[in-house]
Amino acid sequence: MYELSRNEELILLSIWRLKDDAYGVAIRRNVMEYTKRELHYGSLYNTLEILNRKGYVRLEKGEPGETRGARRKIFYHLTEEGRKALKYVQELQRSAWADIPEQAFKKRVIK
Amino acid sequence: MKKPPIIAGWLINRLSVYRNKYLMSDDLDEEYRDTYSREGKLKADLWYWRQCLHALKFYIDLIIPRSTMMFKNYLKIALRIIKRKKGYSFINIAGLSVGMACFILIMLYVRYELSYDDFHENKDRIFRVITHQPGNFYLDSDYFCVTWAPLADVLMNEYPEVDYAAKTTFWTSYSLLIKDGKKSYKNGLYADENFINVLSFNWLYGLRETALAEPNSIVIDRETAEYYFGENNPIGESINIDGGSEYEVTGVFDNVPENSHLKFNFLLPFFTQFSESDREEKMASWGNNSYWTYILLKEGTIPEEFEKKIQSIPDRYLNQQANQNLILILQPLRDIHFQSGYNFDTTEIVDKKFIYLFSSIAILVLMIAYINYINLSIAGASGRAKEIGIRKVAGARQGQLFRQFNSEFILFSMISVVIGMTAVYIALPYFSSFVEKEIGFDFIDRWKFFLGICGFSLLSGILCGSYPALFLAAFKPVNIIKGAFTHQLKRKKLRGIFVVTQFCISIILIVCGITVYKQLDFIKNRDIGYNREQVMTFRVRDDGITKNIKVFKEELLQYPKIIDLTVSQNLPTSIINGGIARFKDDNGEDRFIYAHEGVVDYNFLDVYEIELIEGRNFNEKSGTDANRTILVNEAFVKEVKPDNIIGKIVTSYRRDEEVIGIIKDFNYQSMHLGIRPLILKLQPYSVFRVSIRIGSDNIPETINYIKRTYDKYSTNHPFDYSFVDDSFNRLYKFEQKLGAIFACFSFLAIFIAGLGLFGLSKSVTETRIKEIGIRKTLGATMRSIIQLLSKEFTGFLLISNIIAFPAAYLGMNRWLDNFAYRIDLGVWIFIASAAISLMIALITVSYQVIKTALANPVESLRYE
Repeated sequence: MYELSRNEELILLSIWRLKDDAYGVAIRRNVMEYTKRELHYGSLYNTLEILNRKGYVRLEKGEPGETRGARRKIFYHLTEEGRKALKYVQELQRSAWADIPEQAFKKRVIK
Repeated sequence: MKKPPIIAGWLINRLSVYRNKYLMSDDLDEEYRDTYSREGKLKADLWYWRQCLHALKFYIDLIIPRSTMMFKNYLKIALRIIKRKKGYSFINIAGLSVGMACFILIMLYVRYELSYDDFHENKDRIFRVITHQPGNFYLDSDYFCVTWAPLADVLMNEYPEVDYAAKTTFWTSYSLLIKDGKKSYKNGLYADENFINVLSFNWLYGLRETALAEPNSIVIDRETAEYYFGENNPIGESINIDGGSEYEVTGVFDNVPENSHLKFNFLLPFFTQFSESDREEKMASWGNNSYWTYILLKEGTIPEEFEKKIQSIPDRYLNQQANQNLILILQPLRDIHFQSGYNFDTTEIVDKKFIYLFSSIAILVLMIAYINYINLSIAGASGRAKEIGIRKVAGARQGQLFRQFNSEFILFSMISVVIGMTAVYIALPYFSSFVEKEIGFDFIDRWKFFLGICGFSLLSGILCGSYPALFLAAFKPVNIIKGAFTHQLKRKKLRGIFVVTQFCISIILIVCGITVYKQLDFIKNRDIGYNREQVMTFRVRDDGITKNIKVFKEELLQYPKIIDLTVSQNLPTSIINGGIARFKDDNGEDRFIYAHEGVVDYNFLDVYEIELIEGRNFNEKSGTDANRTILVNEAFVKEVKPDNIIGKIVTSYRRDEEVIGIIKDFNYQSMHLGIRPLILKLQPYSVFRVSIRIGSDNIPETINYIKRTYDKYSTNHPFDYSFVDDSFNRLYKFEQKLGAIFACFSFLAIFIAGLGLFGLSKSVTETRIKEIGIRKTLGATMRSIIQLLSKEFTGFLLISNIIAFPAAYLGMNRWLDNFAYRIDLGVWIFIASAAISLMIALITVSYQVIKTALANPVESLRYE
């Protein structure tokens, strides 16, 4: 019901982590910290659009910034639905992986 | 201030959603500056570009929702649009169909030419051996396609890299085949037994290996076999050639395909071209090169290395005089059709540049058609604005609108493809005969080709159609209702570039067309030094005529409408043979001069009205002229520069002949070449051609009389005549076709450019309707309004002309250099083309302009 694609999940998590400071550049950097590969802006915005349409994320124009010229930054906030989605995914993750030991996918060393 | 790359930035700004909703440029700029300070400008720029290109990709993904459900709806809407906006749809479809048809037609032709000789099994290993003799120029080239008779055997026997080597004569003999009363002329080639091993022709009957081994064997093609023998197996039957010997049919092969550089109906064994007494000597002679040599290399042989190896052959076999830096070259089979400028080559050479030119024209025409579509759609956008606004308000998302407009375009494309294909199908027979090649529209065989063509055009179309689709889909309903969208439509620069390009191309084509036409006209009307009109001519091969030539001539001359008659070896339209003549000048020294030679009789000068400047013509009554006297032309005299040439002796082909007169220079070759020294020899009974000057009235009757007289004396060969001015025209056939092609494409280009301009003018005038309304109410005259509106277009036109003229001038100059006699590229040509383009532009623009100028200001200002 609340299932999220990997990208959606990572981006939502970043938005949650960044609290009030979740805008384009920051989210991208944050996600890339975890994935270690490039998250293109196009991909980011597409996912944000989908999250927006699903109602998990809310767009807000922030105060006029100093460095960015007189234009306002756009900040993204988690909505209530978004929170529920994250919780669902967290639970799903936990239960689906509960019975799998940590050593499961490591290489076996034969003594 | 660190600025990111401008072009990439512009690209992102086209992506409206990213730009407006997510302020992508801001995010990007911030990171760009960070990257710049951390890693320097280059890395930052690269990063920026990568982000932009990926953004493009993702944007498309965003805009195109993945559902396919809506397609039926889109199609319905697209059909309704066509019905509603008939003018717009018609223009678009017309333009696209024309573009498509041109593209397909040209690609068919190009494909055909490129497929020459591709039916041979081992085509990549087959080469023709040709020679390069630096310095030894003949007809403007020092490359020769002909080699010596023993070469093939030497190659095959001495070099293990050669699987097979074959030789043929370089000329096909146009002979009369007779069997049981059936007669027809066929083309034949003398070829040795390995011919069939090197080149692949489908064998139908008989044993390939031995077919050309025995003398008096003949191998015929299917068409000939069916004509003479019907459905029966003709092996073992006999055929008579030219009323001479009988030949036994030892093999039948399938008709030589059209796309072969060698074209023949039958083959005779190579050695039979020599009489039995000469045979051995001629076959081993290294003194005569009149043959084409083909080789099939063993697999794995590297041609360049092998070519180096065989350079020792001339040293070993040729005598000193012949072997002056003679270089052997291996010419790949597939190149033969495209490499021009070699002596003694086949006649159907098509320069690859021509093919490239043609293909570029094809793609150009298609692109112009698409550009027109883009222009027209954007121009018509103001009309669609309301529709878009309402759709958006009703909930249509941008992606859906994108798909809707795209499907409109796809529908247009499909209709145009169908119309285009039909047009090609209808036009193909005419086109084929025009280029004189058999170009088939075989769907079944070439379905891959057609699929490729359709795929390419549709794909590129969709790509192009996306721009207007994106543009229209991005309209904001708010702006539409406010009426503030008009400023977007005023983006003139890009569209201006399109229009200028289209007109540039049109003007270049017009200039080329006019130039070619004028050059041809010049050639036709130029005084060539002889009178080629009203002279009919025919070849004489028949013994009956040759033996009775005197009586034949007398009977013909009796007819009142026959003015004069001459028997000669050549027509004045082409005297190709020539050789080195030796001449003793005033100091008693020997001079050598290369001169062309024609063989004529007493009446030649009279029949062709060639002027005699000094001395006297050949005179029958003197009785001593035959085989002893010659006439020379002015060029000859100029080159030798004696004080008085009349009376001097010129020696050629071991014969001494006295010069008795000087004739005025006449163009005895095509006007691509200048006039070189010429000798006319007198051999009154060397009967090869008869040329008859006839009176201009009732020509059919005269011809009939000639035919009856001919039939009276001929034994075998049917009467087959032509007119000399036709032969003359055939020399310039290529140029005539070129002219026609330019005329055709100019027309097309103008048509499409006119469409483009029409669309542009429509959009410009529509956006200025209010302004015009206000001006009218303030009292502006019709004239001033028309001037105002036309001002923009005259600017474009001027730029097009300025760009086009130098390009056209350079191009045409180079082409005209091909001719020794050429016109000057006068200013007049450029003025004419500028005038034509101006006229076209005026016609297309004035419709819109006048409509707008006449519009009732009440209407346009009503909703203010």
